Amino acid sequence: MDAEQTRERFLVLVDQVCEELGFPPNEEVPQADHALAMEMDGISFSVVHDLEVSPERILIECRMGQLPEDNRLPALTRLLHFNRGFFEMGEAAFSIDAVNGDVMYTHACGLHDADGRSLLAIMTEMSWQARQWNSDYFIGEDTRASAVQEQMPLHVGSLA
Amino acid sequence: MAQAYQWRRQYIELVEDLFRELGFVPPAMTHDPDLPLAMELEVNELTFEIVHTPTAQPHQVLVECRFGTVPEPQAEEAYIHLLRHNLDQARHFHPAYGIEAQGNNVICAFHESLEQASARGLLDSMGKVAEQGKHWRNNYRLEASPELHQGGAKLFETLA
Repeated sequence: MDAEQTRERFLVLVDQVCEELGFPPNEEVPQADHALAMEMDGISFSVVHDLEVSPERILIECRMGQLPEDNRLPALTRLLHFNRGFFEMGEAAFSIDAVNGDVMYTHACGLHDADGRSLLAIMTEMSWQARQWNSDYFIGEDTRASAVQEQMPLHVGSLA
Repeated sequence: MAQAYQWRRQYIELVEDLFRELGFVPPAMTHDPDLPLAMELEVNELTFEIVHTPTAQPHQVLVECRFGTVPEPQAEEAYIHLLRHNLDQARHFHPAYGIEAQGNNVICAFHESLEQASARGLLDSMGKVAEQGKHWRNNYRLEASPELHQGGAKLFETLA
């Protein structure tokens, strides 16, 4: 599939998302690193399709907000603990935008594995994480428990 | 079930190719295709784990490298650096950083599609991660994982 076809596929995906949300179809002229910017539950998202980086993939970015003034190290540690858990599930990760210090939550997926509904399901989970972040910076008791649960040890077999 | 077995077969073939690429004879392996399977090896003095998890990501392998632990006084600075780096990495679909909940070992991880992965390509990617690991260990004086062996590229253990 060439670059133009992947861009067409991305625009179909954008229209599917708009339809699921009851918005009118997108009418923007596509750029090389086209992104669908939207807000859901008061949280900012971008869905990026960059032809020069990886035409077959998209990256969903969720802007979660700033680091806390206090308890900064425990919050940073928790973000990185969660990342370790995410590795086993797929290609999601927490990060920090060096430009403004916002904590970001990204989720990569194959352009052809996604449709409007699955994309919105991912974004719903991401917005839940963003609300949790803004509630306790992942250092409250409930979040701590779920971070540990994400890292249950692998079962391994043995050599013949 | 047949599909799960096919992905597992591709993972084992990839592992066997890695053995050959490193100059070892691949051992016979027994496994349950429904359970995760992992192999450990060492590249440029850093430990890597190559994991196949049939329930979460059957069509991919997860490659993890342990960089070591950050001394407490440098942790906040190092974790911010890791998280800032993560955003750029995510935007290029490159490896991401996390830390283990137990021991706070810094881990760099990436996924490879089983359909597209080759032993040579995987070793090249691991070599690049190993370079990053050395850089991190020098910059932050990371304390090496206790299981780390000395020496060049060598296979030291297989978990099947």
